[in-house]
Amino acid sequence: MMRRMQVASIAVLIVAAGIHLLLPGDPNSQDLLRALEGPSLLHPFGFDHLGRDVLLRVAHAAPRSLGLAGLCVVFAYAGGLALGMIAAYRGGLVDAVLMRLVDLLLAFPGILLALLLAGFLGGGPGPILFGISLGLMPQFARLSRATAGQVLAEQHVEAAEMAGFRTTAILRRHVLPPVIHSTLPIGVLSVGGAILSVSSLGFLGLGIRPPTPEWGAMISEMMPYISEARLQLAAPCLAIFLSVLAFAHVFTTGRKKVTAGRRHD
Amino acid sequence: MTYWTTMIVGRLAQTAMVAWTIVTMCFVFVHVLPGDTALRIAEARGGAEFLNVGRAEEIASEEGLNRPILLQYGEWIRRLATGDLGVSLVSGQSVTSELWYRGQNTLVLGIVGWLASHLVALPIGICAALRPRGWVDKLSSFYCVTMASLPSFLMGIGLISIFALSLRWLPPAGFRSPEHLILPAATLALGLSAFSIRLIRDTVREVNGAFFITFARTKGLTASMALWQNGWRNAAIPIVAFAALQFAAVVDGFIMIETLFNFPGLGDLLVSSMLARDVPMVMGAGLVAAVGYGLVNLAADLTSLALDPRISQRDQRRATFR
Amino acid sequence: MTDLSRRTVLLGSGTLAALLTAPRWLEAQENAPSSIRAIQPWEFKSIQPAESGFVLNRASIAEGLTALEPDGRVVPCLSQSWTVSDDAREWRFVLRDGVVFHDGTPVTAEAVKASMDALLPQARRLSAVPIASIAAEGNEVIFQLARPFGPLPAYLCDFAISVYAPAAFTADGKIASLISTGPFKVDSVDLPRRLTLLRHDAYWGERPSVERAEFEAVANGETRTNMALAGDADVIMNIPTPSVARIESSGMMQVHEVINPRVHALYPDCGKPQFSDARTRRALSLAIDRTAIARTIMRNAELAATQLFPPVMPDWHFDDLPRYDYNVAAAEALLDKAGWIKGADGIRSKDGVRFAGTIHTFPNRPEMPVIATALQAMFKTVGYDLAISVGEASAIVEAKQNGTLDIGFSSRHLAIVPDGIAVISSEFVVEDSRNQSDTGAMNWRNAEFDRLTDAYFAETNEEIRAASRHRLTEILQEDLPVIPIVWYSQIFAVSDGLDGFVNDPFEQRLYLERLRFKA
Repeated sequence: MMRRMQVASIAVLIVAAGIHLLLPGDPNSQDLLRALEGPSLLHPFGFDHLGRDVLLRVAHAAPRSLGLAGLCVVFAYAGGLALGMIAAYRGGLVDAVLMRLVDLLLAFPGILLALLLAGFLGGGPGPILFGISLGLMPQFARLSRATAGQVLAEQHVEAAEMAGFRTTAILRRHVLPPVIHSTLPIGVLSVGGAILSVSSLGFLGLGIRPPTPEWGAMISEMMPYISEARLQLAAPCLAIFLSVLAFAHVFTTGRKKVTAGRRHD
Repeated sequence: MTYWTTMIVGRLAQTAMVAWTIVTMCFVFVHVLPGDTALRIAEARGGAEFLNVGRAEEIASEEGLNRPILLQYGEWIRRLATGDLGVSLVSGQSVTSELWYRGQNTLVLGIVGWLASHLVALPIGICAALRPRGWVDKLSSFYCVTMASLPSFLMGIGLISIFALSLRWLPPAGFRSPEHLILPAATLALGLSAFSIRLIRDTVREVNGAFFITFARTKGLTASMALWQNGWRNAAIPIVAFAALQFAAVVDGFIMIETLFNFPGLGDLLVSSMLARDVPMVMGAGLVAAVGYGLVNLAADLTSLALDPRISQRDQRRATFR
Repeated sequence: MTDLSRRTVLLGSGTLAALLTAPRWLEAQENAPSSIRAIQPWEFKSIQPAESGFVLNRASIAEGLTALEPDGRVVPCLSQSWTVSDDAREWRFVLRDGVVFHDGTPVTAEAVKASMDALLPQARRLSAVPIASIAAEGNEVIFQLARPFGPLPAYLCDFAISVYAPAAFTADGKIASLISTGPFKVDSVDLPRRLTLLRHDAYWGERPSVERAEFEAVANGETRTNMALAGDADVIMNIPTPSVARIESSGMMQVHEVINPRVHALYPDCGKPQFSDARTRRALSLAIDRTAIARTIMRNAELAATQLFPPVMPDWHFDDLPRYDYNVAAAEALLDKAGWIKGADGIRSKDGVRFAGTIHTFPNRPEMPVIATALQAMFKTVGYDLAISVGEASAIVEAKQNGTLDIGFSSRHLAIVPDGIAVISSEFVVEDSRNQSDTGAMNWRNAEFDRLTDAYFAETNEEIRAASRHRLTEILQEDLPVIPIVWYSQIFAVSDGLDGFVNDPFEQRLYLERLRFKA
């Protein structure tokens, strides 16, 4: 049962990431005369308010929405890991200062940061990337700080230190692998959350610049036409839902792999 | 008792530090961001259509925005020391009264939403835990997965279109009566409950498997009796800790929900005053958010302590070893 | 037992917290049927007339010496009549008898003069009027002008100089409380969203039939639609066009629509190499399918702009002006002739300059980014590469200041001062003391235009004035310092239970005082 869900979710993600390659055509080309036209065989989700093919737009939005969310998590993950490991390794004042900084970030809502930057810079992926990454970073920093602390207390690290290995080498060889083991599942899971954040910003009109297709922005564009164009509105909603769902289930796969891997150690 | 006082005082001091840093960050932020402060204020005051540079220059000189930045910051801190948060650059009204008004709206929304989420989550989570793989468990995990995969604005839109537009039971926006609270609070609660149901279920299950429960059951108590008599306290600790963590997530949620429902709360205030570069208002709202966050965490810690005296004993032991 | 007491403490503190924060709505909340609830989109961030006066006038709180009727006539309001000297430099406004402020004090010439003196410095549009002095004489307010200025009564409608009572002002001339003369007085102010109003029983005109009114700002168009669908208010302003059909079919409210003196227009920077040649501006104009935009985005084909001023301003709208054509072939031919050659990517260039730029617009009016998106596709077909930047409106002004603005896309109210000359002089006459706008035409100069505008203010011969108006609009039409796209219609949703709704195309007033509940 669970296995089937995972296969399905991986399939969903592959389809999402690749379907735009199978659908040629410009997602931004418009034909105002066909605005809000209903579905047909060639255009199964119909046309939006500017006469653009909704299927094409949803498909072309996928790599961008997913990619942006993934990139946010990668940035946050890398930053959080570095912060956590440095804090654990250095200890003392550095540790205290860094961790208080992380607490601060926790109190400052990331979506607000993204909102503000986007408001000032006129949209675009930069502010989103910065804001959402900064919002996600604290949890990774805390988690990796905890694991790194445990690992550093183990004896083989002390041994390596005494053997004269350089700091970076010790961190890379002894600390990094267990930290990644313990935090990767959360990392994968938070891609789903990042997709939600990206689409929320898009919905507020501060995501990607028009006419670039983006799911959240498509929803807010189609909202006024809710009674005439249900299908056109449902398409991006479904896309968000399925891809977040898919990431939630890849997570269970990830966790199992990781625990299995640890057992071999 | 002394342990409690030192702990509370320590945490309050820490909260004050965090608050100060947040406020300073807000200040720096408003000044570092690209764009002209006076122009934004002019736009916020008079609307986009009547915007012009001359007006912005007047505002800059009236409000002293051309003074050195450190001087402006110093003056704000000095006034804060006397309990005065100043007046809004946009409306000219007192920041304190605006924060008080918005703050209590948001607090009410937050409390109602949070309580509602736990009213739903606790029974469902416990039921699911008592009968793993039972129908409650399966149904609730389906619910959690669904809710966690939907952006909060979609949930809000769904609730609005069902209860406000189709059934016409509840008002769709604004905040004039208690009924206006129901839809935004429900949106908040639905999002929160998805996560708390899972946590409650997992925690209760873990506790349920613990030896003292097994022991109690050998004494002849039923599963639920055993859990009720012995387990709830153990299960409560991570749940309380998590509830506090949720607060940070709730702040993000407020921004979205308050925008969607035209709800006059802090999130909405923070966004609009940031966009308008209303420095005193931004700093005041940042202060409230930081202090609120600190106090919620403190309350969670105190609750954990009240639930589990072992924590304080352990901490005290650790302290003496040092 | 100890755990019980702890539990009690927890519960108790929770309850206490909830009680302490008991918000305002727990205090008496009334919803008498004699109260009208009006929704409009603009938040009011202050109570200063120069900043939020549009709301104060719209809510029938404040009034000026003159007023604008929904049919476009400027009529006496607090003044009973006015006379003007032959050289158009001395204007005498006779005050209406028996008018009292909301606080019961009489409206005297001195009070009006004091109010004018205090508010004029902030009233930017009035700085175009060469007022030398204001005097109070008996029941007359006298304006001495430095130069002849014909359209003074129209300028005096401005919400920034409505008349407020002496008690309304602080010592430094700011408004401290909203005491004016309108049919409604302020009961409470909740910046930036809510005003509650009470009937001004001693109003000089027709007394409002409802006792109370509530005036609320809801910025989000979708939220306003939802309120209209749910019947959550009596009058809702600025309904987004796509929602009209939905609201009509829901049956809770009726929809009223009227074309406004408003235009959504492009302001290209005529100083940039791409637009310094009028042919390129004309070509872009030819590339715009205005009818399609009006029909699909504005949902009303009549809104396709044929010139800057819509028919609702008959003095400034001329049916004989050449209309804007939609003709891609002609546009391409013009651009070829002007030396802009299409490259391999379909985008034109000339002397190494790409025919490309960024359009700045803002989302306050939800249709604007959508129109920008439509324009992007249309311009692409003729070889102009348009990027869109959606941000705050002040970003447009900033970009203009530092010279990075290629095309500004904004929405303009053409009759804040109900005489088109105000917009003409403030938007298109550059480097002039009257140029109040930092979002108007960019780097465009036309000597004939400037001369005609200057002469217009002093001209008293109506025939010559009409000829000037025609020529001025003709120049705009030919030279296109502004490229109008669509006009705008104000759409109201009005509760079925109300009678007497007036749809004022000038957006000046909601005429709450004329509304009454059906029996």
